[in-house]
Amino acid sequence: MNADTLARIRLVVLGLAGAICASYALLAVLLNTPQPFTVWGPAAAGITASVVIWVSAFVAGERNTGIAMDELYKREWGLSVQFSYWFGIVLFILAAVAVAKGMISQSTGVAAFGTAYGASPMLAFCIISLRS
Amino acid sequence: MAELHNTLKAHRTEKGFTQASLAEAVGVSRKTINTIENRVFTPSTLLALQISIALDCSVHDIFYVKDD
Repeated sequence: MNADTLARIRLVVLGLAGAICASYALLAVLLNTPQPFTVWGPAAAGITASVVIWVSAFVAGERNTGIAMDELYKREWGLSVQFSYWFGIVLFILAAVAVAKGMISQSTGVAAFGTAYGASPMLAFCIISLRS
Repeated sequence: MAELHNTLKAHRTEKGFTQASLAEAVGVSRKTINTIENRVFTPSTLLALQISIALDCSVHDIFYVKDD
């Protein structure tokens, strides 16, 4: 496995895990329930993504993993985390307002915005990486 | 405003490197070389020096500052 393949695998699994977390958040808000589908879904997606990336990196070897995690990758991941930080602050305000106004229950707010916050760096990374 | 420009593509092709082979020589991804050439990504000093060593020229021959 070469560095390009490893980078593609990373992009796909982060995208899938992010999409599952974002779907959970969106459905939780739309259905006003803290558990729109199995509560283990987002956690399983995140753990599976990390295992797949780790195994792929192990198979690719140290040099290819280093190439796949070069300074462009670090820059893109850094931008994703920066975006996620500010997105999290906005989410916190939105959740506080939505719960305070009784639009969603407190447990729904925690479930929805927690998973949305989890999804944000993964999806942001995919978008930034695909655009560059 | 001063911006960093480069002549990486010209130097790379002159030396017979493809983006992939240059990336392999300096230990980064092909995409990184591509984004440097297109001025989407500014490389670190270390990577700029590694590229210049791989292309057997001065870093000033590849990277230069231009006032736009």
